[in-house]
Amino acid sequence: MKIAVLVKSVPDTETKIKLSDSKLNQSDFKYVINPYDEYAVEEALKIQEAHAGSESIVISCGPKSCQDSMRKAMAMGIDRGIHINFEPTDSYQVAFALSEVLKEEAPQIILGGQKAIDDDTGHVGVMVAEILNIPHVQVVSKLIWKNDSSLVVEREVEGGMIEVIETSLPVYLGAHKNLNAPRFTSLPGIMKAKKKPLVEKTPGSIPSALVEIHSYMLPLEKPAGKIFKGEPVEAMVQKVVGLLRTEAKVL
Amino acid sequence: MNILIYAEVRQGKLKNTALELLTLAQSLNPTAIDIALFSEDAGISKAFEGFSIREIFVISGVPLYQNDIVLNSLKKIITSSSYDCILGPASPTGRDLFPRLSAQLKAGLLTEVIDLKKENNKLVATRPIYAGKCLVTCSSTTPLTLVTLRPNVIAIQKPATSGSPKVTNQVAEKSSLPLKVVEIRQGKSTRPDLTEATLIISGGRAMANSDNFKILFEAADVIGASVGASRAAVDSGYAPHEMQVGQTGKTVNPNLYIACGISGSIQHLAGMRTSKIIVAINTDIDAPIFQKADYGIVADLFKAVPVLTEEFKKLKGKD
Ligand SMILES: Cc1cc2nc3c(=O)[nH]c(=O)nc-3n(C[C@H](O)[C@H](O)[C@H](O)COP(=O)(O)OP(=O)(O)OC[C@H]3O[C@@H](n4cnc5c(N)ncnc54)[C@H](O)[C@@H]3O)c2cc1C
Repeated sequence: MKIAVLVKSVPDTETKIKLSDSKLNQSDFKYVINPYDEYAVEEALKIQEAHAGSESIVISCGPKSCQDSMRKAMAMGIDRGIHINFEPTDSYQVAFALSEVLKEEAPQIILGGQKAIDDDTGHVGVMVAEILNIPHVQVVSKLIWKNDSSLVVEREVEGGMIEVIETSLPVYLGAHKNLNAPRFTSLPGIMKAKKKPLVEKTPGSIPSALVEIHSYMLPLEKPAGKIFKGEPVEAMVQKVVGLLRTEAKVL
Repeated sequence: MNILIYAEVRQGKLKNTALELLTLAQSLNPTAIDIALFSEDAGISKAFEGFSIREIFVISGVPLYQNDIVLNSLKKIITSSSYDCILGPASPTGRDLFPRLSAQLKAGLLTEVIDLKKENNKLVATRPIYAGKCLVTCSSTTPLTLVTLRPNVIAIQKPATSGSPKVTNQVAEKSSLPLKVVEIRQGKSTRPDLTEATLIISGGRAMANSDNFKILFEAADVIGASVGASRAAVDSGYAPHEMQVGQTGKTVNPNLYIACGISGSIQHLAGMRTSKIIVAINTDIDAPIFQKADYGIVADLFKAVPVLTEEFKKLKGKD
């Protein structure tokens, strides 16, 4: 079986966002693999281990910083990587570029994180499935193989509700946090990953973006709140509940 | 401008977001608003009374939500008329449908939107990025714009117009992909989902075990709140994953968020910073959560929460 994982590099979750001239100042950004993509990589490796003779590929579209995340995936155990060196302006362009490579590679199963935590859209995997005309299941929390070409997938929706979906390969699956526990990378794994093949590609013609960004803003900071301390608990709680009712008017 | 709204129905009930979307649509002064409603129950459209709607498409034959069937049926409606904008909820269903619709129709998609305005005849959306640490304004470059709206950002307002919309009954299109939803298992919770809740009480690592969450549920039940948790509480096994709020959990947007024994890490704030009012209960005055709190109580949560429950009861008794 051929398994593809789509990954993205995103700024570390601790990153402070700064603007310079109303543009994003990315100079301090420290990039990491998108947290949800780690669950996708782990699931790819589990599938590969369960299906002898399988091959796993990591694919990423974006600037050079993508390659760190790809090496991380390879250090976890993915066999090889394809980096599409291109700075997209919207998610449709990313999906298009990834789909071109996926058409050539023709994997039976494509995995990704359910969303990237930077632009927070969750568009790309679903768009890829549409472009390739294959089914997708987003926010996957469980995978059960029925046989080598069909599977039952559980998708977590609101209120802990679970949709149970039967589907067959090829399919795109968007990994959720409770799908598995991603393995740690070992030093030998990291060393080995450095020698694994990582090809760089420039994409062919990319369609124009469907979305344009006009401006960036920082959210307004809240004024300092009213903090109660040193009084009896009863008094403090009563005061706050009173304020919630009369001042904040939320109760 | 003609707008089509995807009105979400779950478990036979119309979601509040449908009325939030209608309120938003009306604020844009459109020529016409149509609604796509996937439900066997025509009675649901009663909720739309008072809004001025041109046509409601009631689509039957989808007992269990399945994305390809819904998409094919939506596409049929969209291509049979001329819409400038399709609105839907930023819910698991909206996130499942809209990217696919965008790639299919090659229409610009603006998701998780918190504000939408018409400027020079163009729709301009505001949406958070980097977990709300930054906001962008954006628009689509195509004639058709697709938008998903975050729940709870718009207060429902009915213009109270009279006149009844045309109701068109349709049978859903067929499935076109090897995909079949075989079952939808209900969650254990009867409370509103965190992403749609207007009141939330959350517990952190300080809860110390899952039994202790009972005191949060007791307080929550009095005011009809939902209960959330920090990742530390979830990873320690005190609360199930579906209760996690934050960067790798749910993004919530309630009127009131009460954080009990939660330090206020940047990743937790990522999921709840847009709450209208934040209350923090924490023993440590230096906990970062107090910097984001509108009201703070420096106290042991195990002492404060039971008092909170009693105060809520008094309050409800008064109403
Ligand atoms: C990639 C990544 C993603 C993450 N995603 C998330 C996420 O989605 N959501 C999330 O929450 N975290 C997330 N985290 C984890 C985050 O960094 C914090 O570790 C976590 O939020 C801490 O949870 P906490 O506040 O409950 O625990 P702590 O930080 O340990 O805080 C416990 C608090 O309880 C107080 N306390 C102790 N006893 C009492 C008492 N009796 N009464 C009152 N107060 C008391 C303490 O003073 C302290 O402030 C993520 C981290 C990473 C690296």
